[in-house]
Amino acid sequence: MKKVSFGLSIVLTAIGLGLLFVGAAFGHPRVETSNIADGAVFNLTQVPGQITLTFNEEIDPKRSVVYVVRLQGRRIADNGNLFIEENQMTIGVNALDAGVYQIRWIAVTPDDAGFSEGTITFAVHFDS
Amino acid sequence: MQRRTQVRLTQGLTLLLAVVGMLFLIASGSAAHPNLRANESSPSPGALLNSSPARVQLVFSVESQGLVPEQSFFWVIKESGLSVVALGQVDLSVADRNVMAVTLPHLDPAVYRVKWVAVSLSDQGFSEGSFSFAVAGQ
Repeated sequence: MKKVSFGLSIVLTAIGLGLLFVGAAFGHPRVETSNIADGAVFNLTQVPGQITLTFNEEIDPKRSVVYVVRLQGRRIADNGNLFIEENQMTIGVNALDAGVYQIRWIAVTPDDAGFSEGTITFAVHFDS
Repeated sequence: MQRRTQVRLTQGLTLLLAVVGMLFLIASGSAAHPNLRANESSPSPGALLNSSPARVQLVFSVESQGLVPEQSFFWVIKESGLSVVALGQVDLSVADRNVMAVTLPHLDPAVYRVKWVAVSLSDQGFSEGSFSFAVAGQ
């Protein structure tokens, strides 16, 4: 009897901890996958024409946004064509010159309005 | 003799114009990026308010064509828990398109962060920043 209740309390504790982790992740979206990795370096001809970020949970299309910024001069390098559905945001990229670029995203959850933001930096160089 | 003087004058003038042109380019290049005019914005950065403000309004210095409404926003975020309480957008009733605003719901006593992103229409200049204010408890 004692063993059973001990086992039960371990299971309950595990479930409780699991819920805590879920609770912590819930509400503050983070990027799970991106077709451009942080720190990636591309040849001019290799640069993807669009960027897709996949989050760990659904994001609100009305309050979430992503920008691609050329760091030298700090100008927008995306084409403004932003598409957000469920847990994905996609944005088209203009033909890029050589330089360092930053993907800057802001994501808000639709249900509890959790806010998070982040950056992914990459570089484009001329073919050699 | 006269022709030589003329050539020199033309060369000098060209050089002068080039320098002026470059200076102008440099000046306009830096002016293009939207800047928050903190002293004209409300609440002002760092303000401690006695009650919930009715709205948040940010005023920017930006070139003649103003901000891009589809790319310029601000988020009012409750610092504890990081939840968004309001989303500010470009006020289209302001002809200069240099103001973003939002009407707020009632804010509980807490610390709030305003995170803004602004893009200039004339040359796609990107800038961003944030500031905080607090609503004091009764």
